[in-house]
Amino acid sequence: MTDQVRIALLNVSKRFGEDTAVDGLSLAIAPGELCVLVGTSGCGKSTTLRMINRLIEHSDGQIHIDGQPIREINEQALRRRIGYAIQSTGLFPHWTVARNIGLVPRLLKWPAERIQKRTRELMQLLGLSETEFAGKYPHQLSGGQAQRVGVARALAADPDILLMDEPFGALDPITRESLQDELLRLQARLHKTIVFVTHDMEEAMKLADRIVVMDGGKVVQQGSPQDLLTAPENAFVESLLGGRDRGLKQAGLIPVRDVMHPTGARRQTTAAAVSADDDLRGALSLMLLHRLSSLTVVDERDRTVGTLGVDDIMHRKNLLPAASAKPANQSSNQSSNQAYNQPASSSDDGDAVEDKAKVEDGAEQTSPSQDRGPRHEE
Amino acid sequence: MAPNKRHHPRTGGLGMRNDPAILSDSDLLTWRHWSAPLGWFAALGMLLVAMPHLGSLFAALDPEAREPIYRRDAFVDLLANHLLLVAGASSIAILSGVSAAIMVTRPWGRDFLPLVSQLASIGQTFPPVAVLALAVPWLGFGGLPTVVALVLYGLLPVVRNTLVGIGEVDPATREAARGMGMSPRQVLWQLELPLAAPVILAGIRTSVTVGIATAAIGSTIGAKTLGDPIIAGIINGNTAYILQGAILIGVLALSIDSVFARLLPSRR
Repeated sequence: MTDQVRIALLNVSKRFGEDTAVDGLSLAIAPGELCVLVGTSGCGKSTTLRMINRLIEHSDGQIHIDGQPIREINEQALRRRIGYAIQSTGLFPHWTVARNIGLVPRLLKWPAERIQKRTRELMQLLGLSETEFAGKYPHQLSGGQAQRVGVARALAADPDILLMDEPFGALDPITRESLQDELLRLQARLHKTIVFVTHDMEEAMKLADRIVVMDGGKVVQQGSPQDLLTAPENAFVESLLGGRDRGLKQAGLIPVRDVMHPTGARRQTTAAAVSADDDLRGALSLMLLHRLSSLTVVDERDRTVGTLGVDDIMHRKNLLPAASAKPANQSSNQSSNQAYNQPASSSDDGDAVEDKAKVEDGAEQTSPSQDRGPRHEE
Repeated sequence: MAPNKRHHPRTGGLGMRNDPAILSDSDLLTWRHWSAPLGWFAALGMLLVAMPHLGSLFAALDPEAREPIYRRDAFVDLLANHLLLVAGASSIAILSGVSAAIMVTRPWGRDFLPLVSQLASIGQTFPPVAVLALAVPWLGFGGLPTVVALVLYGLLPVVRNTLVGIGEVDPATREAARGMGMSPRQVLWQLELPLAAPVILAGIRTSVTVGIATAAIGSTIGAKTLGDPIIAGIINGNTAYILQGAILIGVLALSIDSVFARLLPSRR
């Protein structure tokens, strides 16, 4: 594949008068990658996101999409090919759900029939019953429903790129989690290039192929969730990672399936069972709760498939390098150099383009339930 | 008069209505919906026809009057001219008021926002009678200076409500609209104006209704309005004339106002 970079930021800066919001930022995002920008408020992550669709014009440097400088693309044309979802949804209060979803296709002057078909498809994709929701107005929706509509609207014209600015930030934890799962399920199918902004490291861990930690308009560290947990660049990243909970968070990234002993190796049933799709963090919590040193592992139909003991967790084979924080005072100016060399995460490769073609051919029309990812939803 | 709260009265409904804040076409096309305005206009018509024949009634109200009914002009002519003046002045006030407010809410016109809102306020604090007195030397007597005074007086509610209506649009929604790739013109016509419409309409309602009442002072400088009987009544000490003019102006204002009341969504 010749073009492995969908969005490229080269030494990009944004100044508002005297203030520098983004300072010499470089970032390369590969097709199909889910890249999460994390940082405290005011770190420039939202500004960075909005420079990509030119809601904010960058002051310096270059931003390219598919190799083309975005300044050369007509603002409106550029935005119509980039999906955009924000925390407050920004749904038009005087339009029905169906009309809101069809906004960008209508701007692109699709024929009415195609818009209707596409709207129906998207409502199905996001689990919104058409009969119930198509004619409703935004103020009649719950926060989670409104955000689903917001995501559907962002996906309406089937853009390659999706920009999401804290889309789940205002939702209650349960709704947020289910929408995160939904996003992962969608992404497994659609392979969009997603830039996702959040201040919630937990959310970043869960969603990201790559996390980009920002502070003061600069990249502090970037890498996969595992990379960050294993070797946080400095005290700031460490504090974002939750300090003392780091071990647990790391355990939260490893599925039980990878560590358990399959049935037969050491057969014994215990009082509590953990799902094979659950992670080690959940398993540890169960052990603490039931004061057990080993658990039965079951599959989604509650059949015993293995066992998991405390020792397995401690001496797991796919051991990550032991965590070691670098000295906190180490300067972070190397981070900007490393930014551009960072290899794209492993999950995306040349297939992304083919997959996309498949998707457009109607993979999206299949019902969402057929295609549930491995994630457990109970 | 202007509602300053957002209201979305149309919550239910299975149809794909375009705009919950504005009545749907199907509602606007029923007779029942327009029963109140129709009633008012019927009353106005009956008054116009009956007034010249109510001599004995007005004679009883004001026994000293030599002639109980104002007969210098037909009431119908006065009413028609009165309406014409208000319609002309209101059209100008609405067009210029709404477009000025739109301009100063665009990024390139934002600098003029304080100027425009101040000008509109001055227009309203300046008494129309004073405007008339100042305008006569320039524009002569009759309808023209009256229209000028009415335009100045009617601008503020229109400008203010348009500013409020557009200002009430959630910035996040506007940003989303831009982020989706809507042009500034599309944002204005598809988002801002539809959402601001009820508030703008309320401003127009205030402006027009006040205009109907204020137009009467045009009679002091020779414009033919329903103020003629009132002025004549004051000069001649004829209470019956004053009553006839006042009643007609009042009923006219209420009739027009009831039309606006029906255009605006009701609060339930």
